[in-house]
Amino acid sequence: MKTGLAEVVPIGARRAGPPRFTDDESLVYGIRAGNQGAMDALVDRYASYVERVLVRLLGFDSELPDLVHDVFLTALDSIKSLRQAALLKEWLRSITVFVARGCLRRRRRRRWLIFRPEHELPDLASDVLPSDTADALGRLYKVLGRMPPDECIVFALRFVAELELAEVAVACRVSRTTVKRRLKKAEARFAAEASKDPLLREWMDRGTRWSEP
Amino acid sequence: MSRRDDFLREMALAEDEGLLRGSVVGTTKIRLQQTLARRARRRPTWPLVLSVASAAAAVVVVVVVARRAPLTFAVGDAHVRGEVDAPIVATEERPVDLAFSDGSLFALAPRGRARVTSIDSRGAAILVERGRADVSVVPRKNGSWRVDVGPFEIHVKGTRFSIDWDPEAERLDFHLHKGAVVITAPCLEGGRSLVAGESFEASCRPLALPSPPPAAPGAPFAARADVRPIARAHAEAPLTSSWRQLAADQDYAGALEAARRFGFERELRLGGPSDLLVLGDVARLAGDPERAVEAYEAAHRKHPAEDRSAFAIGLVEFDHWHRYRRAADWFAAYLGEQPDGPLVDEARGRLMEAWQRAGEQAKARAVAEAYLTRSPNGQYADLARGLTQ
Repeated sequence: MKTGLAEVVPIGARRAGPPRFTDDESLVYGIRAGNQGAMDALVDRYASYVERVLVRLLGFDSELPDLVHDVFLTALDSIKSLRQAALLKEWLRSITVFVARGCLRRRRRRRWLIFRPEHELPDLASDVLPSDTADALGRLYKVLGRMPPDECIVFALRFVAELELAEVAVACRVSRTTVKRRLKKAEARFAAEASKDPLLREWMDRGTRWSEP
Repeated sequence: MSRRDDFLREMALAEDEGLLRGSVVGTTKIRLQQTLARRARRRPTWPLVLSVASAAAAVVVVVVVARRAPLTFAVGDAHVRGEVDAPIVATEERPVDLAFSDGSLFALAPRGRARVTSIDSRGAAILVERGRADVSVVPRKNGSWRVDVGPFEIHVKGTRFSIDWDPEAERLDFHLHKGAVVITAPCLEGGRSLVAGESFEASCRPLALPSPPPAAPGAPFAARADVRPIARAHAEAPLTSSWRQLAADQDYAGALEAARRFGFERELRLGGPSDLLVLGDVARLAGDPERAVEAYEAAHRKHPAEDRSAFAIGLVEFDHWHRYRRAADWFAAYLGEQPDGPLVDEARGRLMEAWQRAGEQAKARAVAEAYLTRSPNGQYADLARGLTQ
């Protein structure tokens, strides 16, 4: 029943070889020391992941390159606040959520201020996906974009990115109870909003891959 | 799974397909580098009057406060503000410079590793863990600088010197270009004073050869003299490598002995949190729980909210001293400090067992319920079920 600590954390494992940013701990230390190689390694290692999380939250958004850049800039500026280097990935995910939420809020404010009907739908998807798929994605994120940002984010993280509740809570820096409450509202709102789009409703009612005949 | 979830999952798959065909991250690195470079070049443009006023105020502040203000230091070409105890690692290709606010410089050569372990208004203490460094300390009244290299302590006033430390061989190579220093170590009786132009090569490691020619005590220090006084002081000790290497080889008793010889208290004072945790493991597995707790507590003091020191102290209290209430307190502390830590299940299981053994059934039951919720198939699940039934 008892587990020796040496079995859990092998002694000496941390001192094997010179650090070359092969693990997140050395990477974080390197960034804190101002090492350019460490900063590059951070982007190399996590840019695709950050991009994927942003796409889950916002779709193939035209601002995607700027948002990826903003995530890493925020991360480099606040690297000192990362208390556990081993949680670097989760920490970056949390920053990504923060940046995406800022984007959604900004658009929401803009919509109210200048009475602009909606954010122009992303057109990047049509560059890389078949038109019907790009259309489905566009409609999905149009619906999500009409939801309050906090609800949109928990919904997208839970049901599109398929994160566990606890992971969503950590990413949004809120409690699990708050996540559950937001999810409940978000699900109802998504159902109501999605039902207004006949094509979207049809795709969901079909319950099979939309591109199938 | 609902049709909505099916649809959303298909959307996610489509996104993955799209990302494979058209990722946008290719330019991120270059854009980021450009942004950082722009920031570094940017300088605030204050109005002239404000500048003059600020300068005048700064002079007053410098005069009044400078004597007490601790030094600061910047790391690398980007001049990132340095932090005490943060490892400074030079890559294989590039050196890393530490520029101190009093003008002193510490240049860590490629592949070197060091840490600033303390800093105040008079100077700093720097631990060189590996590699070569060129040091230039600006002489100041009441200045106090120290460079720690393995078992050696180099006490500096104002000087310029180079050091090269090989931790595997435990060998120091020291060249004094200017000024004067005093080097102390457990194996150097009374220390050694060096003046400009002298070099010093030494190791506190026991000699491998049975009959080395010992240096005469108090003999004048010749340039590049190979000083090995430890050969006399510890002639009976076996040839050992550093305690870290022995720990990596799972020779915990040998590692603990090496750490004691090296200076256990000194390791506690200078070691980083990860080193202290390993040192605690070494002592615990070598059957010295007191030393283990000393090391773990030192790690916990340095970084209370990081790593597993609280959990490790709980283990010692539980396994070695059978003080279950204290063990429970430490396991609870770990769970509080690291709710998502890698040892959470183990800590919760141990906490439950500690309360049970302490006769606190209600507390044990409460923990058991939490344990079963989180880890229904965990290694403590049987015990937890027994407690909740």
